[in-house]
Amino acid sequence: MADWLWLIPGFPLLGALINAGFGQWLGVPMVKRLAALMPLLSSVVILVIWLEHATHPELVDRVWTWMAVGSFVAEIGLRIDAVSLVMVSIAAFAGFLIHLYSQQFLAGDYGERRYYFYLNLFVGGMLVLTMADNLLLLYLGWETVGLCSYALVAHWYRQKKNAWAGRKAFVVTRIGDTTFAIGIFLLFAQYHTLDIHRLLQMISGQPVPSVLLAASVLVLIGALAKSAQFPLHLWLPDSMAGPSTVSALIHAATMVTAGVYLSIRLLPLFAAVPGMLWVIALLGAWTAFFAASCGLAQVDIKRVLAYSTISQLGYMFLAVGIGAPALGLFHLLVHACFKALLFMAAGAVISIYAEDHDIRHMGGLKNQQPLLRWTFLAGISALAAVPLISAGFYSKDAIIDASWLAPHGALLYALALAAALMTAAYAFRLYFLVFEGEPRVGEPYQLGWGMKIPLLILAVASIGIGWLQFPPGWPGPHLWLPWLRAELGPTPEPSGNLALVLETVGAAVTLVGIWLGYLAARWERQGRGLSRIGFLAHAWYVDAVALRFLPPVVYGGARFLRLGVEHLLFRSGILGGIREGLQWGGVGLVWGENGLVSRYVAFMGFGLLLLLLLLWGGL
Amino acid sequence: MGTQALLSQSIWVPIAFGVLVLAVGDRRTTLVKWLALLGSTVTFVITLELLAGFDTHTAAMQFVERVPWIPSLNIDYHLGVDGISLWFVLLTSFLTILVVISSWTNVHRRLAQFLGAFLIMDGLMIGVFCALDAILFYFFWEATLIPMFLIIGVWGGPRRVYATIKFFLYTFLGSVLMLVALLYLHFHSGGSFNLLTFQNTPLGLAAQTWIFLAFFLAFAVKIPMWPVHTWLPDAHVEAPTAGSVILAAVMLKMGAYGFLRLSLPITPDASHHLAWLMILLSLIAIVYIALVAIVQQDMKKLVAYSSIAHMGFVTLGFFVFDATAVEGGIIQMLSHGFISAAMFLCIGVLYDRMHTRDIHAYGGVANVMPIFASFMMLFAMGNVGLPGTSGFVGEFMVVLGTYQVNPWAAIIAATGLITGAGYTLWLFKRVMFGGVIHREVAALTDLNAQEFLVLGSLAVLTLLMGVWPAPFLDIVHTSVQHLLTQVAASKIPG
Repeated sequence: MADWLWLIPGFPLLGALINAGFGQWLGVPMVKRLAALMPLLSSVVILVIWLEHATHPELVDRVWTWMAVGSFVAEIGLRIDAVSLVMVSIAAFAGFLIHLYSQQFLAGDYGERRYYFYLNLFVGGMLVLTMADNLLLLYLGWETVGLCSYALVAHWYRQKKNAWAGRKAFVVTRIGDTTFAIGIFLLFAQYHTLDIHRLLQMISGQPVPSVLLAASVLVLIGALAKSAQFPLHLWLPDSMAGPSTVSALIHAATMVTAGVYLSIRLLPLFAAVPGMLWVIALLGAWTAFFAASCGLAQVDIKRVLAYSTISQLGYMFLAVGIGAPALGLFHLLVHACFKALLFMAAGAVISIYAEDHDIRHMGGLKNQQPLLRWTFLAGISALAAVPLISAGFYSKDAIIDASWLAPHGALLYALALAAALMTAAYAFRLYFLVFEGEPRVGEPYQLGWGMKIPLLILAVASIGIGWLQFPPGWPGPHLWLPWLRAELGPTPEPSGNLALVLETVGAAVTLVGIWLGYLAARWERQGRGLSRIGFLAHAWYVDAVALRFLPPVVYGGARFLRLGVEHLLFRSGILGGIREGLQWGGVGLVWGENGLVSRYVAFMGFGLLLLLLLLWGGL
Repeated sequence: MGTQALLSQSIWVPIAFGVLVLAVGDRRTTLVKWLALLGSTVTFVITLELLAGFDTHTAAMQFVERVPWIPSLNIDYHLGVDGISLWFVLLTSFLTILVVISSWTNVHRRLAQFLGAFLIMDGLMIGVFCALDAILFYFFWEATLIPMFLIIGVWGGPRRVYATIKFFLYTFLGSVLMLVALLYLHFHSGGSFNLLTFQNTPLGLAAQTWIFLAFFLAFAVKIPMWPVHTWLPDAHVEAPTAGSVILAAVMLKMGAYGFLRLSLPITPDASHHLAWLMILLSLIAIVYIALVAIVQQDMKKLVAYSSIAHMGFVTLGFFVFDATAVEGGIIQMLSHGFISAAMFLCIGVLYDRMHTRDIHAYGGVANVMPIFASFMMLFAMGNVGLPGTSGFVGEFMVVLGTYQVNPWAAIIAATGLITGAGYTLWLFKRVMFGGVIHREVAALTDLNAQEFLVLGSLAVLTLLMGVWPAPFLDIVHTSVQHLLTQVAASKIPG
């Protein structure tokens, strides 16, 4: 037992509470400092866990009983193990860096207090989600982060489209949330427990194939919606309407990875259904491929990054699906570092260009903003997986190589490799368009220390964090996979000559991709770039088709119910029917058998009839 | 117990204060306001004593008072509460305080009569939840109609006459047959009017079915269930804010309470036989009404429709006969009491300033009323059933309990979570977000002290019940267990 674990989510939640209750009196400068302090305090607690329990973390804290009726018990219970330790470290520390970055980035914005309230609440919710020891508490965190995402995407609510984007994000993910909830019901109905550990033991002990199939599909839809996987990715590109710091925290480092985390956490559930893991792998590989192709043709700097997030999350699902969740978690960590960095840097770039998101209007920023350029380049290198020197190479290529070993591995490998080629291309297309070429002068923008420090820390991490786990057979540290072996089992890795071939191909593909990216940037400047391919720029028209058909069906049906059924049927039909019925019913009742009572009823009925007729006349 | 006559006090103290307020009259408004506040607060304190003295280990009626009322007809003045009714007594007395405070500055016409009506209604509604004698129950049940009738009829909107008559007709027509059923039970049980005796009276299936249907009509109209719901949107639209609050938060609960106190224990076999119908109607309410809510232009209508959908979860929970679902239904009733009250108060806050409820007239309110926007966001999230709010606990327990018995019903009900998000957020977005287009919106002022107090206390309750519903559930456990054993046992003689 560790009855202080609640401190980790407790600090940010307290921050949100103080902000909501006393923010008015504290004033904005105080509120924003306090808000940034809270995830830092959580990080300190997490650091203590790293120092004291890193080799075999296993901590439990039952705070109180949430609800209990008969066999149904839901605790507010927290648990830390190796997987959740990684997740909480990302949520708290990346959360802190983004709070820090926001201090200057959003200074003077309208609704700063509201922003920090939701940011704190978000970090608290994410920590609850990752530490929950039962599915219901996990669901609480799951919904809390969804709410914060909605509120923060719609942060600049004065523009209608931002509010619209927030709502779209909420409703689309809510579809997945609901299927996830139904999956929880199903599992509880079968196994009578919500505790994740006991549930997984019982699933392997007494599997019921039909229930497990249904539950795993339902939970998977929830995970896919949260992590923006095809075809439920629709909300993520639009949610770029929020501030860039929000995109960095929610739509890159933390919330969108919740689906990956859930599938790692519940891996025995998916593994118990034959073929389910392979489906996850295929969906992941396909999404990686699909989103990367969309990323090639985007002109909005944040939409490039949004599609790259979808694509990178696809790799993580691929890893989970091929039985290498440890690699998925590794890439999740690496991705959190470089994508948070890229989004924050993109925010600064957008500020420099006076809120213009179009990368075709940018260029040559490298001399004007050297620090921004180098940190951005570090992030782009990690995204493109530049061989040897970037963290992405060690995490992403490991997944691609391991996919070769899976059943029908050639298909998965081909998709993943093609996606890697396009990733390198769109990453460097973005870099070349923004930072190289002839300078397009933006507004003078001075990065303060509060913005520089997070960028530098994350840039170092984007380069160096990959060195935790070198490819198999290489000399150098192999820390990550052995550390997670006890929890997540052995990870499939190619060996010998095969490994060498796969690694060489991966590195070569990346280099070709960078060259293509350079070309793509040049074509774009000449006005004949990939953005002119409508099919890619509109993301294969999936969103357009969905918007064309789904909302009209719902609204049309609702209008029919209101006008057709509510008005015609009830107003005229039923009310008229009551009038007729009373007339005849009243007559009948007088002749009824039970003297006293029926006469009483008939009398009342007659009175009511009179009233009704009065009403009828009045209409 | 009993000697203090706490139940009688909680019924008659507010009524006495109500009469006093009426007697003081309109000329001394300050005195009237303070008297009303004092009366409602004293009542709430009395009901708190009930909570403090409540024994959670027994399912028997507590604080029982029983004196002959009309001895020749065997009618008693018979009161008592158990775990099922206690919370509704507290909910009623608590919300009356909020209603008095919220009417403090916003009602300008005939304030004394207005507050008097609410105080009297407070006592009468508590009477409904405490009465254990059939005639007494029926008396309180019908008597609550009169103050509400007046409140909508006198202080209501332009179409108030239509709405009041419709309201009165529906609810009155519904409850007439309940009286017939009660009289039948009286003759059949050997001349008693004791509801607890009714619960032990053996009845054939046919008789049970007729009685169940008679009760059903009364309670279904009150809740209201589809298809007898159409009076509610009209009544809400025309009612003044305080009337809507009490109507949604307490009066609708009387119908659901009737199912628990009368239908289920008196006609258990018929309840089982007709459960499919109840489940079907509940699901229609959840799915169909949510869709109708999406296309409403009037804020109050939208919230009224969402009330019907939320009450669908309550009736769904009751008729799957599972402890989790039934307790979830009760929690949902309480939660809806807080959240619907808060939603109507929020609309009232806007209406008092703008005098329109048309969603199109708003937009960008968050710019000028940030504190209000934060509150409304919280309540909107409660309405959506977001975890951490009380709305989640109730709906979740209902759906979870339903799932054990009837998975498809649970899945259909769960879709209500999506549509609920759709219409609530649509309302919130249209009213709160966007730029300020209308000049009137730009001139809005944020919450005043009374509004802040009222919405703040509801916000605390919504959150408290969301993260720590245990104290609420502890009270109801034993009584619900007892109820379920009653329902499980057949009453068909022979």
